[in-house]
Amino acid sequence: MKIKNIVTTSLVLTLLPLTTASYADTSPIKIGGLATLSGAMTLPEAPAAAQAVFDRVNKEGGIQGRKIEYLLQDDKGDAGVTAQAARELVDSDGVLAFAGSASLQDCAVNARLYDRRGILSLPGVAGEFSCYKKKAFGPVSVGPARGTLAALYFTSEVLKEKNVCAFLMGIPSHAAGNKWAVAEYEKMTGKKLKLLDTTVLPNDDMTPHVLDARSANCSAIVFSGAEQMDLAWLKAMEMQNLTNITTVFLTPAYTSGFAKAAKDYPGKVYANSEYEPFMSNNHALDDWRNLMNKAHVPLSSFAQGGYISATLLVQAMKQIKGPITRQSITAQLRSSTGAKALTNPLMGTPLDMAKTADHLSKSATKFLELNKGHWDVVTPHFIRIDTK
Amino acid sequence: MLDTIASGLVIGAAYASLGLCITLLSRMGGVVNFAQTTIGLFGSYSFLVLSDIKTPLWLAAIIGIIISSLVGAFSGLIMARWFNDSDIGTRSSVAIALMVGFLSLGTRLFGDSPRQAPALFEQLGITLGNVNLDGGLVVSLLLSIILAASLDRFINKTHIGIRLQAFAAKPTTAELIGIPSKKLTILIWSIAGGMSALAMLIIITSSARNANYASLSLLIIPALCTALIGAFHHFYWTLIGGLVLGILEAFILSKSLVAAYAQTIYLPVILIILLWTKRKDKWDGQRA
Repeated sequence: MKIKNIVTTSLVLTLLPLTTASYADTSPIKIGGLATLSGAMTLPEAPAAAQAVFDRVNKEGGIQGRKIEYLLQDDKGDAGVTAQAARELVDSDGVLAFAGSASLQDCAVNARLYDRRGILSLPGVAGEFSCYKKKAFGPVSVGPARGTLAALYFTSEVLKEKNVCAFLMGIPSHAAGNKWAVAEYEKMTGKKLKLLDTTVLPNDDMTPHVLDARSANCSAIVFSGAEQMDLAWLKAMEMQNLTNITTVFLTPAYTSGFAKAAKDYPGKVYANSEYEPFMSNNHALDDWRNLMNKAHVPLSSFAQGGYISATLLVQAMKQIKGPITRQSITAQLRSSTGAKALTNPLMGTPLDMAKTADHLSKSATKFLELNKGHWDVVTPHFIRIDTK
Repeated sequence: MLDTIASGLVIGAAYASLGLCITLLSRMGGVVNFAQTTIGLFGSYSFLVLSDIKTPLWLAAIIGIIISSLVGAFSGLIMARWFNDSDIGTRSSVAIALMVGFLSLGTRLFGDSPRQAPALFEQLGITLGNVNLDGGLVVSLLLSIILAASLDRFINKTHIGIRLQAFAAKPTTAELIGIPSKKLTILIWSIAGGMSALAMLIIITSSARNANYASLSLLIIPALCTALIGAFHHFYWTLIGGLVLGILEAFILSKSLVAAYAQTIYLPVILIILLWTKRKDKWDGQRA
């Protein structure tokens, strides 16, 4: 009996330092990010903003005394590289979650890998329609499909335009989102679009499309395209004397550069913002703006996405009681649902991360009007779209 | 119908002017220049940057054309120094490498921030059917016609033109009989560079296109198709090819059922042309 006690005591004494060490784990919390950092179109702002958030958390002592190590990989705009980079981050580096990603292939290419490894991603920029359907992702951005639906709703229900037409980007990755947005709009409002053109391509001359708008007698147009395409659209409208038709763009047009370039356009132009409009004076933006300025990250919607995604992940990690692992982060995020859904003052609607959550059904955006070279907020409250 | 033709001319004028630059370099430099639009864009983007900082438009345009001429001369120097004796396939591959290099460099240098191009020929605008054509397009059309006519005449009717063709076919032989082939290569590339800068400049300032370096450089595809219609040889056919291609594209865009396939028109056009022009060729042993 005595010998048994001695063995037990010595075992406890031997194991005690080990267990203490596991609670006082000081190894860094590895968080991954995937973004297009090289190539013709780059998206560096979202991961840069996420890095700024993590740097601040580290400066304040980290989470449970552990620093966050942000491992960022360049997807080079290539699906093969995107898959390889994700594998390296998940399997070799052992990241616990993803935040601030801005990769246009991530959702389509890596969803299965993330599901198998039980890891979740909160992308900062999610252009792909599949990001809103696949359960491994909790995108903070509204994206083109939900943005199109919001713009159509705003045009017919808020601006009360009668003959609404839509000219939507015709690249294959937008096809499913375009179809969904138009179907949901018709279901929600019971109205039909006067003209739907889903053939607009980035290198098109916009003149033939604009002439179609004139033939269809459109009173307002929702146009989804990249920033430069939006400018080309206005140029075609002006050239064909159609500036009496109201134009509603999606979030790519909401930049100071666009406002400056289109300052002399005589017609009515609107755009939506996926978050609290970053050029407005709303105090909800103060923390984001100060942090971005300190970290020298250019102010943009992309930087808002990166900041929100990293902030929400930090919020979730701070709520974890035990050790921070891939499993505990995933479990914590999955339990962030209903009243406990993750939120930030820059967002119009909380991010519900439950496995059963339908990201497509809810979104919130604000709309702005172009006014002599700057954007004015015309919907002070978020316009919330609920398709259920 | 007139509207479709008018909007087709808007598109076709751009294709024709770029196609002519490619045909010029093919005839006189013996190369299919895939880098033509990216070289031209260096100049036209320099023009946009300069006009943004309030440089007089005429001066900005001249500087832009000079910059593209220099970029063209640099490309010609590479070609003359290392690939003068290579076959057309090798030289065209080098042109592809140049295109990729210039595309990356141009995108980095000029970024993708929005740029509004100033109108250069606003007062020359005309209305065709119900479509307003910008003055630049009228100029572009006229320039393309003048260029096609004068290049055709220069190459086929003048002594220098004939010498240049001889040089393009056999640079080493040309060198041996006293034609300074290296200098000529550089000169021709430089001229084609300047011409494409002018063409791109007119396209940027007058058409309603996405003024993004990467997407504008894709105009090389219809431009090559246009040059192919002229068999990389005939200037008039290149001109007609560009306009026909533009009108075809506008026609397809106007039919909602097939509009999504407007830019796939190049493939059947190329196939039909090749089948027609090669109809007398022996295609296999059966016909031998």
